[in-house]
Amino acid sequence: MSRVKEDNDLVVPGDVLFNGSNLYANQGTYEANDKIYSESIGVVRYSGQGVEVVPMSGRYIPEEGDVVIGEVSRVSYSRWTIDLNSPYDGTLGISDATEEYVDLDEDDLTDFYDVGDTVVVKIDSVSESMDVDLSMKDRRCKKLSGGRVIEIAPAKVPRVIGKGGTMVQQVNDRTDCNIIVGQNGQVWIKGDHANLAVRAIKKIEREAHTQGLTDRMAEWLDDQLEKEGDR
Amino acid sequence: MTASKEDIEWFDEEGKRVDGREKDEYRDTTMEIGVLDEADGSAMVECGNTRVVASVFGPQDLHPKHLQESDRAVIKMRYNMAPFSVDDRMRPGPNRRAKEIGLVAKRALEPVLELERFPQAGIDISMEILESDGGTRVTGITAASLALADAGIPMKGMVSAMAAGVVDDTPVLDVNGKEDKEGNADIPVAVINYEDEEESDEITLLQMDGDLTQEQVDDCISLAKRGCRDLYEEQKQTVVENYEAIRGEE
Repeated sequence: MSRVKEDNDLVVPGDVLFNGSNLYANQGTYEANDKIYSESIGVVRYSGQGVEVVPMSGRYIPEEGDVVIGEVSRVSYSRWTIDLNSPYDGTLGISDATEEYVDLDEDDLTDFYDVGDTVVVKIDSVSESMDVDLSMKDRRCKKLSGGRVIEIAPAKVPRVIGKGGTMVQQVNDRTDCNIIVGQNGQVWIKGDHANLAVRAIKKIEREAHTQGLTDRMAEWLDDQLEKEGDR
Repeated sequence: MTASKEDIEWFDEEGKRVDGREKDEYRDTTMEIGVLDEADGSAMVECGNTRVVASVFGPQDLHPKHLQESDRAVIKMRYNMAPFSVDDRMRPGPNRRAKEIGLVAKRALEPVLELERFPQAGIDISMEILESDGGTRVTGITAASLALADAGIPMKGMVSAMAAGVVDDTPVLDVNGKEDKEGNADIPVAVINYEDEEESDEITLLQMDGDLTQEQVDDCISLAKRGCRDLYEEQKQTVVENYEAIRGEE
């Protein structure tokens, strides 16, 4: 009935995190012989009722409610298939895509979204067999035009967004770019200083686990902007 | 001309082996993870002159579709020796031996993986033997386990593997190429390791090749298990060092 590790410790699969079973074994952990073990490389977080291991690597696995950036990979009779940079593709049905009336035999679905289009979509539901249903019914969802998409490790997404969106907002403001971060590690960037924004995002990803990063990034961005101004 | 089997002096007057090791000493081992950029996870393990790079891709889409399982991920395991890994050129491409080793290595790793988490997906694991001096399958398994952890695939514990063998009727740990080829027998063993040593007694690979007595088998297995535990400690240290460096100073 005791914590075996400290908060923020780095653990590997098979490490014991807790003796006893009166704590919930959350994400990244499993319970066996009255103990809780880690199942991935990551950082331990204890909370009042549970313990979790925040993994340091791994591919994106769709979860209900996530807002992600995907690319349309196929247009069928009444739905789109969207590549989410994950082992599982998403399906967007016509009724979840638009409020408009669409006559399936007359109208062309590619008028809405065509193969190759980049879209922000919300994950509506994920079934047991990992069928992923998508929806556009969220104010953040839209088709993205122009700009570019870069990839970061899905495990680093929370850091890039920052507490309450502060980190991405800061990069946004200073570089005059539009930046959208998908939970699946796809980041869309468009604007004047897009190159700098890309470098900033990559820097945040690299230094994701260091303290006081938000303030350091502010300084770094001002610095870089000044250098660009000189040229 | 090579000496016949009986003429080889397996131990010198101090009881040291052909390469100067004690009977229960394994070769110097170095491990590194994240050696490949494109792979989801990768690791290189060198055990004496044996050198293996393991890579992991996935979970990802699995093709052809008929291989998919509706309730779990499927592992594709590849064991391959580079043409330059042995003294004579190795004929490239899969052969009977490589297929068998791929299969047993897959079975050695499967029990720790949470495959039900990824229905219909596939996980590609590849072990490339760059240099071979005995013990390639066990070194490959040790490397693959590190690569799987590096890829962030959920697993119950870390697998490590090591062989023990018999030369001159004496059990020895971690046989090298010469001891393997010309000795009496060798027994590769893979173990699932947890932090608590008492719990780590699940063996996921055990093969045997050669002539030996029952006592020698028991001795070899306990020697190999001891070696696996030490390897596990090294695996753990490698992971912690690598990831603490990524984490930076806090």
